[in-house]
Amino acid sequence: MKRLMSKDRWISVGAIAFSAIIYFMATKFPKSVLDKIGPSLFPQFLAGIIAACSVILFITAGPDKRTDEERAADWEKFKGKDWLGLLITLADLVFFLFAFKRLGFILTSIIFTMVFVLYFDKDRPLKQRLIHGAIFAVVFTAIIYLLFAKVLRVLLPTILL
Amino acid sequence: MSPLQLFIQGLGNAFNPVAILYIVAGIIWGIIGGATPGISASIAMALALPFTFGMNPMYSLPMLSAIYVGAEYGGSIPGILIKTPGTPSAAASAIEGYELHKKGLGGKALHMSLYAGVIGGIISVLILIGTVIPLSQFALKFGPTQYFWLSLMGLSMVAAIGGKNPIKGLMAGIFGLFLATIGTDTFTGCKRYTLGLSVLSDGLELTGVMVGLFAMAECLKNARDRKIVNNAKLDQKVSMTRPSGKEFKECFPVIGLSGILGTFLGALPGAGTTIASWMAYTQAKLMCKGADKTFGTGDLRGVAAPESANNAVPAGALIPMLALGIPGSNSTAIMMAGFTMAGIATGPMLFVNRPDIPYMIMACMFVSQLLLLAVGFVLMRPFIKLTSMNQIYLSCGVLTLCLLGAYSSTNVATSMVLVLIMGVLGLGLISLGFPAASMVLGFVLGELVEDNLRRSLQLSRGSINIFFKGPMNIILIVLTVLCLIYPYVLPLLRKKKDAAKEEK
Repeated sequence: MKRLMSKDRWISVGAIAFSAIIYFMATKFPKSVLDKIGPSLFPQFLAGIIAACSVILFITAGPDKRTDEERAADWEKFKGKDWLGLLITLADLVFFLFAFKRLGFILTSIIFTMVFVLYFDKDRPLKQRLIHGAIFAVVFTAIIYLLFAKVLRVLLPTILL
Repeated sequence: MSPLQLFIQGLGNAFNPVAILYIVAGIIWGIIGGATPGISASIAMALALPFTFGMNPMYSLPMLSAIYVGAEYGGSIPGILIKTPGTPSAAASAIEGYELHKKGLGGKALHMSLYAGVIGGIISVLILIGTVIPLSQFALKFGPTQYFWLSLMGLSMVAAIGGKNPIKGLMAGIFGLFLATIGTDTFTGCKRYTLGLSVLSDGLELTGVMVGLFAMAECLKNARDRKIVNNAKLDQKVSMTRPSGKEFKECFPVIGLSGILGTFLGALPGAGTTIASWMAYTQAKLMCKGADKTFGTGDLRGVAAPESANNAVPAGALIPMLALGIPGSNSTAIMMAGFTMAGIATGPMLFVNRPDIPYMIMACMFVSQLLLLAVGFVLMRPFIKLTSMNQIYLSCGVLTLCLLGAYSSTNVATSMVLVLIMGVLGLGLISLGFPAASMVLGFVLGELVEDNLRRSLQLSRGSINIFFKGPMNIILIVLTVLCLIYPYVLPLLRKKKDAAKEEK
C-alpha cells in the first residue's frame, strides 16, 4: 500500500523544523553598530538553503511505494542489527567519560576495555573471554598510558577515588 | 627564491633525519590504517590529528601527508589477500589481486600494487609541482565573491559526486557550515548557538569534530552492524614472488596513464580515490590487449592501474587545497585542519607569505613515495599479518584513541564529550543517508564562506548584486549550478539515449 510519507519525506520535515529553529534563534542575535551585515545573516541564509533543499527532497523523494513484504523485510533488517551492541558501546563510552577524572585513566581504561571485549568476543567461552579480555585490557592500557603520559607528556588523571 | 630553489630547500627539509622519522611513522601508521578494514585514510589521519597539536609544522604536515600516502597503498593488502579491501578505493584492485592470490601469486600482486602506487604517486607529485603555482597565481586575482562561489562550488561538487543523493549531500555540507557558526562571531563578538554553555564560546574544536564524525561514527556503525568480530584469516600462505621485467614492462603504460588520471580526479573536489581507481580499472580493461579474456581471472595490469590511480590522488587533491584553500575530499579537509592547527592558512597567499611551506609539502610528498617503496618492501610480511588482526581489539583501541586523542590536544575532558556527541550525530546522519565527508568539508569551509560573504556585502554596502558581477563570478555560478543539476540530468539523458537505441 502506498503511503504519503516515505523515510526521506520524514527527513525533509525534520530538516524544515531544524531550519526554522536555527532561523528563529538567529533573529535573537544582537545587532552590532560595527558590522551592519550582522551575525544573523549567514545562519539565516543557511537556514533558507536547508529549507529549500528539504522542499526539493520532499518532492523528489515521493511517497513510500514499498509493498507490505518489502516493508516487513526492511523491518527484519532493522531488527537484525546489533542494537544492544551499540547501546553497550555507548554506555561504555559514557562510563569512560564519567569515570576518567574520578577513577583515573588506568582503572577506567581497564574496565572500559574489559566490558567491550567481554560483549563483542562472543565466539569464545566466558572463561576464555575473561582471561583474554583481562590480558588485553592490562597490556593495552599500559601501552596507551606509556604512549600518552610518558612519550607525549599528556597529563592523564591518575587519581584512585 | 625561485620555485626550483624552494623545492630543493623543501627536499632538504624532507631529508632531515627527524622529518624522515615522522614521514616513516606516518607511512607505517597509514599502511596499518589502510590495511585494517574499517579504518580508511581519513580515519587514520583523523586519529593522528590530535598528536600534531603543538608539533612543529615542518614535521606534523609531512606526517599527515605521509599517512594519506601510506593508507592509500595499505588498503590494497587485505583487498588482494582476503578480498576485503581496507579502503573503499582498493575494491577495484581486489578483483584481479584476489584472483592472482588464489593462483598462488599474491606476493606478485602485492609487489605490483606497491610499485604501481609509487610510480603513480611520483607522477602526481610532478603534476602537482607543475600546476599548483600557475593556479595559485591565477587565484591571487580572486576577491571575496569569487572565494564565496568557489567554496560553494566545492561543496556542491562533493555533494553531487560523493554521495548517493546530491540534495542530501548538499544539506550535509550546509549543516557543516552551520556547525562552523557555533561560537563567538569574529566580526561582532556575538555568541551564536552556544546554548549558554561557556565551553561552546570558542566554537566546536576542529579535532573533536573530525575524530567524532569520521572515526567514532565508524566504530559505532560497526558495533551496530555486527562488524566487530574476529577477522577473516588468510586462507593460504603468501609466496613473495615479484613481477618479472616483462610483466612490469606490460604494466608500465597503464601505470603512467592511471597516474595522470588519478591526479586529475584527485584535484576534482568530490571525485576522490574510489572513483579514480574504478575509472583506471575500466580504462585499463578497455585499452589493454586481450583484456576481455584475462581481466577477471587475475591480470596484473588490473592491479597496477587502480593502484597507480589511487596513489596519485593524494598529491592531486593537494592542488586545490594548496592553491585555492579549498579541500576537495575528507582527507584533504583533515590536512587543512592540520594546517589550521599549525596556524597556517592555505590558499594563494600561502605562496606569497610562506612559500617554503607548500614547497616543503610537495617535497615531502615526493620523499614519501620513495620511503613508501622502502617501507612497503621491507615490512610487507608484517603488514600481511594485519589482515588477520582481531577487529574487537582494534575497535576498542580506536575508540580509546578517539577519546584520548581529543583530550590530549586540549587537556580538557569536554573535548571527549564533543567526540562522543559528534560520533553519535555522525552515525545518525550517515544512517539517514547524509555523507559525513560533505559535513566535514562544510565545517572546514565554514569560516571562509561566511567571511567572504560578509566582506563582499560590506564592500557593496549590503547589495547582493556584487555576487553576480564579472565573468569569473558568472563562470563559478554556472559551474555550481551544473554540479547541482548534473546528477538529475544525467539519468534523463541516459534514458533518452537508451530509448533512441531501442528504437533503432
